[in-house]
Amino acid sequence: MSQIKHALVVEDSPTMRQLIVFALSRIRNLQVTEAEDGVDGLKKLSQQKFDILITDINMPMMDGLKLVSMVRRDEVHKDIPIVIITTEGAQEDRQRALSLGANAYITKPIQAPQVITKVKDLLQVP
Amino acid sequence: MAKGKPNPKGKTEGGGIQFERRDEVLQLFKRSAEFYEDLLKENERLRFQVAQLDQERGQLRRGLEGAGLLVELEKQVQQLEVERRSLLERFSAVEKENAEYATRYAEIEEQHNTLANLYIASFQVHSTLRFREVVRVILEIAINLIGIGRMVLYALDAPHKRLVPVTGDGIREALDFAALPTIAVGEGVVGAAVANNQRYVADPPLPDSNPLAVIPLVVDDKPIGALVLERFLVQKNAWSPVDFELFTLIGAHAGTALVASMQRADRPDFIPAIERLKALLAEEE
Repeated sequence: MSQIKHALVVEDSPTMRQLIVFALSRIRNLQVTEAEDGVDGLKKLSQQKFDILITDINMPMMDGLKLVSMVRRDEVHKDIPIVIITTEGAQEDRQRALSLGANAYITKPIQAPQVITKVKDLLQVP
Repeated sequence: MAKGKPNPKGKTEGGGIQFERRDEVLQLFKRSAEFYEDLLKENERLRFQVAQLDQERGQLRRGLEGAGLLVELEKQVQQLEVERRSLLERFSAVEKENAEYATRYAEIEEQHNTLANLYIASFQVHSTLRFREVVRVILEIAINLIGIGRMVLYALDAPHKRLVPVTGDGIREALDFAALPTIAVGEGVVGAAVANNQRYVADPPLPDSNPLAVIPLVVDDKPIGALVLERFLVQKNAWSPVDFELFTLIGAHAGTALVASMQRADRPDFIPAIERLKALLAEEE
């Protein structure tokens, strides 16, 4: 029996959050937790061990890049795979996110198969 | 016969005759020996020929057997060739089937993606009766699901037949809606789209296409405003099939959601009584 994996989706847009969760629901044995912004995301990360983090960049309270840099300093989650899903399509934004420690960078509008493939690759699940 | 009488066969009747006979016998033996030798030689020659013939026959038999094997092998090769062609044909057919399945799978994935987008857009548009929330959802759909970087939402000022900019969104730039001009219904691309209740889409979109699209927002086939899409996000430069489906959904649902939320805003504590619901149902019948 495959081990259950846990994903945290941090996205302030309910529409986008629902779309990402909908896409991730197609990955077997993946449980998804939602957070509305970076602060909410950090709170959820402190309460539970996650296997992957998927986050937007432009969010109120705390943006995604700040969240990424804080997670990389967190003892429990410093090695967690991080996927950025954002409207920011400029090359410098991508480079900045990757240099801060993101593992993948996907721009909106998303295609569900693209997100599914990337998350599966990072989780190393079939 | 008188004694000493000459013999026609020789003078010496006694020893001469014996000598002659002896010679004759010797000659006979000699000829016999020669004949025998000849026979032996002939026999040896014939035996050699027989041996040669045996050898040739053996070679011939082996040759015939080899030829039979060759024929058998050729037959097998032909059968294998037929099998090979059959397998190649089958392989080709399976490859074609696989390609068809892959295409079909991609189509289903695209349909699934489209349906997910439409379901979520519809769900979110109708998830609230708060006006600001409805507006936010409409803009979110355009940004996140379509990939629009700048847009303006116009409301119809019906008495004056003008479109008034009310809100919008622009990534990394603040839109000053107050500074935007109103548009007369029928005027320009935006006004014409609303006047004709027909969406406009620059397809294919060009770098200088502005607007990219105008989506009249309608309630009961009457326009109440328009969503004008002005610029893509930097990473997008073309429409995808799902965009057109979302245009249809926005046109049909966004207007209804906006009007419902405005009515709800007018009467924030309104909860329809059961009598009123029954009366409405009766009216519908």
